[in-house]
Amino acid sequence: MKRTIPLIITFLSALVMIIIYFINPAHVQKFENGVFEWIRIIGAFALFLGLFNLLISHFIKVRRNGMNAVYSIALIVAFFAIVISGIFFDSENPDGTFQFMFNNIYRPLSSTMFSLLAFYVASAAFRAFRAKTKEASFLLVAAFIVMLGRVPIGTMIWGKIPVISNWIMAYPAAAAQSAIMIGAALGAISVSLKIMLGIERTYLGGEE
Amino acid sequence: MKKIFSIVAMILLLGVSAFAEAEKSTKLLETSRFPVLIGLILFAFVIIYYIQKAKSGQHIFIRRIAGLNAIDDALGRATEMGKPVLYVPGIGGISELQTLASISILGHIAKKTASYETDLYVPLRDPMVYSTATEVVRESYLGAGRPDAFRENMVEFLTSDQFGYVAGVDGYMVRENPAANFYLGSFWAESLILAETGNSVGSIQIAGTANPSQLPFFIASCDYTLIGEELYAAGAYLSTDPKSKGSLKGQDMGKLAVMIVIIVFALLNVVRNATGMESLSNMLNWLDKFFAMKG
Amino acid sequence: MAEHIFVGTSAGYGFVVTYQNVFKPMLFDKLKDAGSEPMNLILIIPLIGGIMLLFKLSRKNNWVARYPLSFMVGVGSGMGITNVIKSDVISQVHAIIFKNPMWISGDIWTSLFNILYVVAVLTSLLYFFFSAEHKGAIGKTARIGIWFLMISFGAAFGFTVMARISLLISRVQFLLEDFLGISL
Repeated sequence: MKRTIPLIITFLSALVMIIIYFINPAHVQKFENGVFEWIRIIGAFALFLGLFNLLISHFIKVRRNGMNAVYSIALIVAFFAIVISGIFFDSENPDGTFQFMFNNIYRPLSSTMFSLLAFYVASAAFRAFRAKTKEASFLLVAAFIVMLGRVPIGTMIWGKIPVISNWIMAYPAAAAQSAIMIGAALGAISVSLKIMLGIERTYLGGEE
Repeated sequence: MKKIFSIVAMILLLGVSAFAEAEKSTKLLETSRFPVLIGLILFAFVIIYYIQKAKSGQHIFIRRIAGLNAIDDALGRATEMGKPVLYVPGIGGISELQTLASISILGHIAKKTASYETDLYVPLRDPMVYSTATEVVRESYLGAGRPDAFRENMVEFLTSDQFGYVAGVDGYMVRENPAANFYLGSFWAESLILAETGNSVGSIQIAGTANPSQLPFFIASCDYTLIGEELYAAGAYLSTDPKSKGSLKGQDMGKLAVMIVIIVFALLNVVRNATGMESLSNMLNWLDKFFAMKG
Repeated sequence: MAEHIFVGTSAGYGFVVTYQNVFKPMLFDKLKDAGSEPMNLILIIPLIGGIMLLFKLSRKNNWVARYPLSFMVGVGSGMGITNVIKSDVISQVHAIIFKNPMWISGDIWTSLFNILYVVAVLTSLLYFFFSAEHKGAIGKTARIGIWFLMISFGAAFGFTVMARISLLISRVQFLLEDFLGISL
């Protein structure tokens, strides 16, 4: 009972989604949107679970260790400050706490993380350029030509480099990309079928 | 059980068609999507056929993939060093197939960390995946006979924000120096930040994703990367259930079908272009339109 | 410290956004209007589903949460299967066999490249075969497939590196020239 009914629900909801895929959207658009809305509502409740876990674990840390407690306190304070100001006060008010925290903490830190990417790309490139195997040297050569093909210096070395670079992108690289997608699709189809048939049920947890 | 399934499926089909019958003014079926139906029937048939075959006890040969040895090596090293294992199941939601594949792999890895008595940490971005992963890890520890070793804070929700999450995971890596990091699932821009941070603290790293845009970064900064389908297959490999092996064989047959289609049509194209045969040309044009799937 | 404030702020921010985009418009506001729009009452079902999900917190009754969870997983896999068949199989195969004319008489190079394209797809696909040992002819072909895969990763990597670095250069240029007034 605790397992069979969820498996039936999984099977039926998957089946319904497959069936409506083949029905003229004019008939099922509303239904489909309704399903998405349900999913979003249920998913939103899940956020409570996550936040509950986050806060509890940091409350415990505050109670346990004196030294590092300050970090957890900072996390908890930041969380409640933005939630209370965002929900109970006017979140649109440009002078309000919500906007202040959004503009002065959230935005700059997000963009900092994002801009770190450029540096990580450079360090990863460095790593990639120490080809260890024959396979890796293919990666290296292709990367090198494509990089050269996109800057003026490549043309200066040899006029044909941009042409070769474009050729790599259009032929071997695009073809292998297709193969990856087709293979991954087969994997996804198989996982999806196994979930529908109840063969893959790890996500349900529990043994009963 | 099967009977219930099929009866309910029949009722649903009838219901949907009756509902559609009521609005006859516009066409009922989206005929431009029929190629998907053909694909669905073909792939479902071969996969289910080989699952059944495996279930009936027939031996199905599956080669061992290098990624699995890499997973075992990484776990072994973490155990030797007495350092934790970090498992990141991607940033996708619970309804994403890559995430579900990753959750299934997590179950197997958690069983191993439980029996090796190695510490495991699973930070999550999606609350649904969080609650599922908690249960999966708890079950694995129970299954390995080590329920005492399971702690609630092994699986932790951080934040649903992409870069906030990355900051949290990076912080963990820098503080705890995990010996092995697993990044298996759906990844986007954070892939490289995670993998490079892991690299800088000297962890062994195993990655796997079906997002083609992130694969190059994982290949460059991780010790081993499960490419595309290998991610989905890893769960089946780790599972002792023979049905999983059957499904892998079915996937192969699906790919074989795709390859045959490609070869046949490539040859037909050559013939058409060489001879200019009109009937062949008409047929290919029709198929081109049919499979272009433009309503 | 910054990391903890960031995690706390972004978790809180996520909650506020969820409240403003989901709870309020999709649930509370619609249920409030249920008097004039009785159909909105159907939203009680996902509301109950959401509450059932919270049973995950209960050690004893957490099976209750499986019902909404299985609904979400079912919808996801049902939609996923048709989507991947369409965009990752049919569209890909369609592009390979119909956008590629293979043999163009008189243009031997393009013809050879077109053939190479198909060969690259087939050998790369062979790399993903799990039920055949990578030995003998299959092993050799799969090996060629790996080369193609590596070339594609290299190309994608090189492409992204250049895109990111040129972005960085343009930011540095902006900082130096427009912001600090130093001309290069």
